[in-house]
Amino acid sequence: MQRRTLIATGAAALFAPRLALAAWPEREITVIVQYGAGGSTDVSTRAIAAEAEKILGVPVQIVNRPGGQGTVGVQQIAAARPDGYTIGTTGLAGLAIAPHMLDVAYGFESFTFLPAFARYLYGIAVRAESPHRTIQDLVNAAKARRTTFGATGAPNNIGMFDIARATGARFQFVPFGSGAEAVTATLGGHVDAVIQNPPEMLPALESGRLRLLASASAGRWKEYPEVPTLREQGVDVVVDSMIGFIGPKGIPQDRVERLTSAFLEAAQKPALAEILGRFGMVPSILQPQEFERVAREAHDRFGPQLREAGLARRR
Amino acid sequence: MIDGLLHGFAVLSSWQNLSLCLLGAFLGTVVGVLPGLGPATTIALLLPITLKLDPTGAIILLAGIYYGVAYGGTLTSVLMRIPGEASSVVTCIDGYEMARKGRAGAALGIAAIGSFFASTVGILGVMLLSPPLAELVIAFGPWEYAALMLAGLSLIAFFAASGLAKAGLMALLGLMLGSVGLDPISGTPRFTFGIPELVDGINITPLALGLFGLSELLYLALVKDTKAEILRPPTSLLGFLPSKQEAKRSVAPVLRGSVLGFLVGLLPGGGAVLASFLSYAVEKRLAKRPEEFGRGAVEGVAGPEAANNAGTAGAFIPLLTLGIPSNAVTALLLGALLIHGVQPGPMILERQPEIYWGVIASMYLGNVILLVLNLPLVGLFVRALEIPRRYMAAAILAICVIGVYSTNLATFDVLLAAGFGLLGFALRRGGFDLGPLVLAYVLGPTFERSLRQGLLISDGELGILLERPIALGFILAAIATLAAAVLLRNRARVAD
Repeated sequence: MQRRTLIATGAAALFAPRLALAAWPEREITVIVQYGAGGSTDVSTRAIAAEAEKILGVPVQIVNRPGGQGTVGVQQIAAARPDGYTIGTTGLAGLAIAPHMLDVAYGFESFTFLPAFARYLYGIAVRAESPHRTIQDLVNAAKARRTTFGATGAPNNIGMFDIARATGARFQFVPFGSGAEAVTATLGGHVDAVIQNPPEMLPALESGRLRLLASASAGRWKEYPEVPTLREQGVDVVVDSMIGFIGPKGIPQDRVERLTSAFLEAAQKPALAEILGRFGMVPSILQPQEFERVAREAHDRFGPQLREAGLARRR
Repeated sequence: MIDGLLHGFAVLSSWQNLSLCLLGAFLGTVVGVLPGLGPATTIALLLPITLKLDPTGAIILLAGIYYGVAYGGTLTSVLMRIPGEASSVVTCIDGYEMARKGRAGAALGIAAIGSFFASTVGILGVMLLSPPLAELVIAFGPWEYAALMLAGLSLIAFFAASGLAKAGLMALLGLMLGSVGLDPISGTPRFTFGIPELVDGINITPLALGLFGLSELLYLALVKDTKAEILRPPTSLLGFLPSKQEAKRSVAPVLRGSVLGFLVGLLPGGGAVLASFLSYAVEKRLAKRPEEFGRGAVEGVAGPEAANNAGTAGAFIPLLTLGIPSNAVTALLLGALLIHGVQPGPMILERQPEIYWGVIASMYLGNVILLVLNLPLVGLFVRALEIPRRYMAAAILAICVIGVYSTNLATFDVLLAAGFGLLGFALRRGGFDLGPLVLAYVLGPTFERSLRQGLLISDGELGILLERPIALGFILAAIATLAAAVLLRNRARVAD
């Protein structure tokens, strides 16, 4: 009798891990957002979490951990228990830009990469009174005289530095605290141009006070299909940033796969595309390895460029 | 326009929207009363919940919290010298002194009525003047901001009872505290001493609660028990009504505060905090008896409390007509609108008039609700002064600590507040005024950022100022203010 129980228990023990695997996740998953509620990072994370919930069959809850320019939240992801129940979202800001500006306690080796699901759109615009109609006009003006542009920081400003390098023009970067302030300064003619995302530019574009010269992204804006990209105008520059999931290093491989497939499926839902569009983003799937590669490349490329512009920590 | 407003009230008249307006005003009052917990935190917390509402209802609720806060913030400032909100910091100075003279009810009553008047002025301004004022916002570039901030800083000369040198020292300390965090141009940290919590700068909550609230505790501990029971509640239930003389002295400050606050609220980076400080400085400058400031001058409550409400309303103009948020709270409101697929901006009147007019109508109603909510409560709250100070002190400590901790859930902030409590105590013992310190801390970062932006734009040339009449005007005003302060002081010295 005792022996039988023992065998039964042993058999159960043998099967238990497999059952647990199939059942994972068993409880709610926490997603750390590195900024406060209401911004594009927060809203897009909530939107995909709402879809992923249905696929994973457990609640996916959002925890906002703002602070340290977004590095506090990323640090907390790195320090979380690697059981797959605590992950987070971030983009290039946390992985490829902040490490050049601040002392952060994490590096690429601190994370398990999961998929990225959306890209930010960028555009370059001037005010309606400006004579410039194309990006070439702006570049020519910048070759002839001092030309300023407003932006919040990287990667927007790096895009303009890239254009300057590719064309031999010179642009003076004027940093603003928010995209809205950069747009306002452009409308008032205080700076010559602005490079930002759609949400802060669309109101002024639609009222005709601001003119979009180019989409600085790989594709055109859906609101302005007639405005070509930089590449289409002969300037080989693309400003790119994305948002994706990361977790602490050491999450078991089967859980990584489960999360990856769930988020990849969620990323294709039409409801997500709708909400992303309102915040100037487009759905765009990057497999975990690709997300990591793009982020690492951006990190290595931004460092020297930011230092050259006097915008980063000195080594 | 009348059609629009009627349409707005029609939108508002559904049960759901009416109750959301009431709920928003009520929550705003509560959040305003609770130190530390501010409108930004509350709106961020509620944002995900509002996803279930329709866009108009969501904005009515969130906007109610925003403008309700400017009402509630006064209470603890007057009764306990704890600023309930950043926009009521300056009210601690004279509001609390009024309470010590047994005029707490009058201070709160005037604040509530002044707030109502100023909000109404602000909403009318939003309704009638939105398009031309939006142009003013655009005309303000970095140089204009830098010059405006300079003019604001020059008012410090009139701020302090303690003399120019002491006020100047405090202003310098405030500027230093404001410069902790990220360099506004290069984005790299400075004066953070390797402490990650300081990367985002020193938050105004631990600073204000420490300097004013915690330092008052130490002060109370120092004086004898009998003397500490100085706060006297009014004798009758109607004691919250201001006397005839107090009411008369408040009329002009409320009017000035309403206009000034509204204009400052329009500007990005402006808003209610700046409005209240500028109004205080202006009232002190214009007062017939400036020596009463800091000792319970009713003008020092009436002006700033009107200004912070008008400033709150003013911030709706760039938000609704340009899609430009002028402070952290309106940025969250913008986020809320975007989540619901509403793009604020010049086109909103054509595309979603029900939202534009619904919000404006709800602001009218919300302000009436707030007045009805706040005025009778004053009589009730003032009874709290009957609690012996030795028990009250424990409550003040608890409120301050919880308030500071709840903002960012950071123990570091509590330690920071404790440090500021000690600093505030030491400074008050040394006869320094805290007003110039906080004003410089508030204005300094915007001044630095704008000045450096301006210099980047002009390539280091100052001659550009001659082509910018608005900026030049502010700079001349700043010079005139400083000169007047020095001259008046010298004359006073000769007269002595």
